[in-house]
Amino acid sequence: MHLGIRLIIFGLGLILSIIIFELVRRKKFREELSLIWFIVGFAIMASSVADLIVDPIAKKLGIGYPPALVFVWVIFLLILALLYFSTVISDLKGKIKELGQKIALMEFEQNEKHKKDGD
Amino acid sequence: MKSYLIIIPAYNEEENIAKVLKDIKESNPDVDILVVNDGSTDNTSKIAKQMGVMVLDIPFNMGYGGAIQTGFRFAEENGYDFVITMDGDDQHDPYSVKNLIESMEQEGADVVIGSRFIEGTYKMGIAKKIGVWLFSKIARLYTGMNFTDPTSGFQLFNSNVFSYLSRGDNYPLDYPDVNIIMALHKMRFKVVEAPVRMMEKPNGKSMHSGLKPMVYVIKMFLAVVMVWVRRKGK
Repeated sequence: MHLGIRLIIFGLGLILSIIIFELVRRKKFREELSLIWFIVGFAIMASSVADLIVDPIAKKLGIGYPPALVFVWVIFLLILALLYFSTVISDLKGKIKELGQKIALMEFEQNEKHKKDGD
Repeated sequence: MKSYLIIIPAYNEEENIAKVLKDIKESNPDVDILVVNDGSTDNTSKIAKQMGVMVLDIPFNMGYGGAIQTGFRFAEENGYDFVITMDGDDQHDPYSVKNLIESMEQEGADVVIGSRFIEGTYKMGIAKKIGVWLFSKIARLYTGMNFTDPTSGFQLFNSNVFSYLSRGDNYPLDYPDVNIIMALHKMRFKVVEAPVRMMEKPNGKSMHSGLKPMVYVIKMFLAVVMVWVRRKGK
């Protein structure tokens, strides 16, 4: 791989990491949710030299087209990221349910109190 | 004197709710009634309030199970002894409530499930028939008992059970079914069946319509497996 290509890939990863860092700094992105995207950013930066590691591994595994190994690895990482966000959604759904139930119960109590105060 | 609360989850039931409440009041004058308005966009809540019953307004559509669980929480906070769940679409005959109560007293049960199949017949689609048959078999396999109508929403719970189900994820958001029978059996609650009368739905949309039966069966299978493998909750 040419040095220029390596620098472009590294730069893209760096830009992504800086954008994520800025979003977290401005409190537009929660720290715990940003972690997975920092990993993606670093993975892109690391991929600028990935061929040095991937090519020999692909050769040993008998993969004729080494980038295929990178695609498999990236797809696996993205599936992990999706799974993580699904757990976050699931957790939020539970919390929204709790809130909805509490609002309904509190509103009822409040209305009953108003009725009693009015009598 | 023992206190009973009838919980009616209702989503856009303005056409049925007045008749449902009138019939319940006539047949069970000593029982408190709570309508859990599950984010209806019509006049369900207004009509229920005009009928003089207690109404909880959930700010969005939470789902059948979520609405029932809200009712359980209400019952626990207000110290009720027993809770009866009935649908708001005029399917459940309120005169059958006495069958549930009698059965609980006679058998010393914690939960009584109203079955439309013990006495009389009930017309339903082939997909639902298969579902009921399948879930009955699963319930029998797990509990060793015969449940002819595990999908019934017409049920009676004592305070130990509804207190347990009111907590966290002990009750599903969508449709409690054979998975709840299994979960309660696992918690060593006594679950029995009693005959009730159910009518074909006259107006509106059934709570089970719109859901594709296949997806529902797959989801329920997953829920059943989860009950099987999970440790006992608190």
